[in-house]
Amino acid sequence: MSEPTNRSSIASGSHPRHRFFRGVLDRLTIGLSMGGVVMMFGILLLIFAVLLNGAWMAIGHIGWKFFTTSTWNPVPGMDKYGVLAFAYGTAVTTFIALLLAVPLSIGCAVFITRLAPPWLAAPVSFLLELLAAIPSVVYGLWGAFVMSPWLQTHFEMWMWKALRNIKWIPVGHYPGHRTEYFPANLVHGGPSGSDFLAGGLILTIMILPIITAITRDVLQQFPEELEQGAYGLGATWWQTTRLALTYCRVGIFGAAVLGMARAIGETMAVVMVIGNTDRISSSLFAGGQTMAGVFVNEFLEADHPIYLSAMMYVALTLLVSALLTNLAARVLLNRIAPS
Amino acid sequence: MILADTSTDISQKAHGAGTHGLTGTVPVTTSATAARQAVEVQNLEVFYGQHRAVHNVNLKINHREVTAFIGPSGCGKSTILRCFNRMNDLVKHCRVQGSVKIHGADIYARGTDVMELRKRTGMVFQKPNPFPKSIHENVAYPLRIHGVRGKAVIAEKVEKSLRLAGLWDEVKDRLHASALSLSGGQQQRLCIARAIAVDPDVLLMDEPCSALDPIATKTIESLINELSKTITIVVVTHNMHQAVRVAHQTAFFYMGNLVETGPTDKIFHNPVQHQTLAYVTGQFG
Ligand SMILES: Nc1ncnc2c1ncn2[C@@H]1O[C@H](COP(=O)(O)OP(=O)(O)OP(=O)(O)O)[C@@H](O)[C@H]1O
Ligand SMILES: [Mg+2]
Repeated sequence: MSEPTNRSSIASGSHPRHRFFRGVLDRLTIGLSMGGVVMMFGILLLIFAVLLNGAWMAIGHIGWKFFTTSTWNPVPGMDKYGVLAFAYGTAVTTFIALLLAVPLSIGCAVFITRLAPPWLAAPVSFLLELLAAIPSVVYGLWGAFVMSPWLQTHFEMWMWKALRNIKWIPVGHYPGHRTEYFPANLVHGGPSGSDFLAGGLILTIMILPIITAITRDVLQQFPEELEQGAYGLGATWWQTTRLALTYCRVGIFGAAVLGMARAIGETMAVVMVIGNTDRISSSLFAGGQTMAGVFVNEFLEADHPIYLSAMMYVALTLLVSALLTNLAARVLLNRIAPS
Repeated sequence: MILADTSTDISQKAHGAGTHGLTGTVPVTTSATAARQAVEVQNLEVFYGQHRAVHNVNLKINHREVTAFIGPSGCGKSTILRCFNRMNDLVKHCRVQGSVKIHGADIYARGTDVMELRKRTGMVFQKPNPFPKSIHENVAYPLRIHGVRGKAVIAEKVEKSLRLAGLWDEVKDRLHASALSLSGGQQQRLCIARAIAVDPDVLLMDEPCSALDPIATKTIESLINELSKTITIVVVTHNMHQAVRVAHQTAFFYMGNLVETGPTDKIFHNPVQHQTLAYVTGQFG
């Protein structure tokens, strides 16, 4: 904090008026950035307080059972609220999305920065930015009317036929006490098109542009000297690319975290393809729901106090888990960052 | 390689004379040494798009000697150097004509293994460019990419290279510290260690000292002298004194042409071309 002030007073020591303005500017800049930080912190705190206040009633009534049960029955008088199924939905769809989007994005970014000729790289880059700008409801519509039917009749059908009889590892029991095997359990129930897989895929498509764009920018920072150095030692294109990826791993990780944040918070697009039930199933073809999804789906229908309060409780859970994942990401980041 | 092996004793003798090149005395080129060219360049032309950067260069570089490339900025020294390990392949719109032979093999011939060529023809750059890895991993990198496996083998080779580069004693206690924690001169020696880890026949150095202070420069210069006992070295330099101190042979380039080449002593004290004389006496450049 003291460094810029020192530097400016040395640099502008020649003229007192300059010194005065530099002093004012310094203080203004510091003030503004401090103000920004305080404001951001304040807003976060405020959101937290509002959610906590709203959820207070549900916290009192439901308590920890909220996190250990998965039944969601808002009918007045019944009032069973468990977030587990939605948390599971968020986790599964986000996991699928990251699993597919991160390698694909890295591939795309490598293609744009290191493989494609300029006449191709520029339009592909442009397309990418365009994709990132499409509103999520449009993705959702496309997902519901194009992707889901296609998944049901083609991709999931194919996957189902391929996997349903492959029983490698026993993983548990169906309610009817039949043993469940991996990977057959992934396609249990048959193609539906509105399921965890559809949710995960729509999220994949949605976070692909952002992860690719950031990875591309990060890869462009790979210094020419190191590139030359690697080639000069006899490295192949692929070995040099791997060096670049390792060099950029922190940035790429950051890109993935951003993608994850978007996936966790996504609402409309997921709601339109995921099936909207409070189920927990290891089958990718089972319908489900995410935390953000249940919020957008039911918030306006929450017509009695405990229902509304439970919705707030969901939102609070979402906020806290988003904060925790970001924190975890930061810890991981410090691990992989060169000290 | 075959040439090198069969003529070891002769080259050592020739080199015995060559070490005095430090003071500018250079071995007389005899018919015995004339046969041992590490690099032979014939009718070399290099174009960047329409621009011809190198024009009809013919040049022979002696085995296990230091050859300096001098000449004013933009005369094509780096371009020629990059032809020796085909780094120009990476430059868009760069076109090379003519032939470059290293130990008799035309490196621009169809079917040349460029990765293998670059392994045998190490390169050191103007700006030290260690990878953001540990000191050990920097030197291990070329070994790994060329398929050397085994912790012990790699560790042994890393130590040998670091010793050759005169860096071992300074870094042996912190091999796993980041290479970026080294000083500029140490980083450059690390880059030299990295380049010689895979036992190249030829070492190409493009202004290796221009980013270093005089003391680090001195260290690198004596390292060049030391390494030339076993490796052919081509060094591009803007520093005439450096050329005099390290090079047995010197080649002077001007505007893409090779103006004159010969023993360093002769180029600096008794050149044939008036352009050479003007350059080495500091009248332009
Ligand atoms: N990548 C490139 N694209 C286009 N032209 C280039 C490129 N590299 C070099 N040139 C041109 O080729 C000519 C020779 O350049 P080169 O870098 O070989 O000179 P140099 O002798 O090494 O100069 P310096 O002493 O400044 O390093 C120059 O006219 C330069 O502008
Ligand atoms: Mg140059």
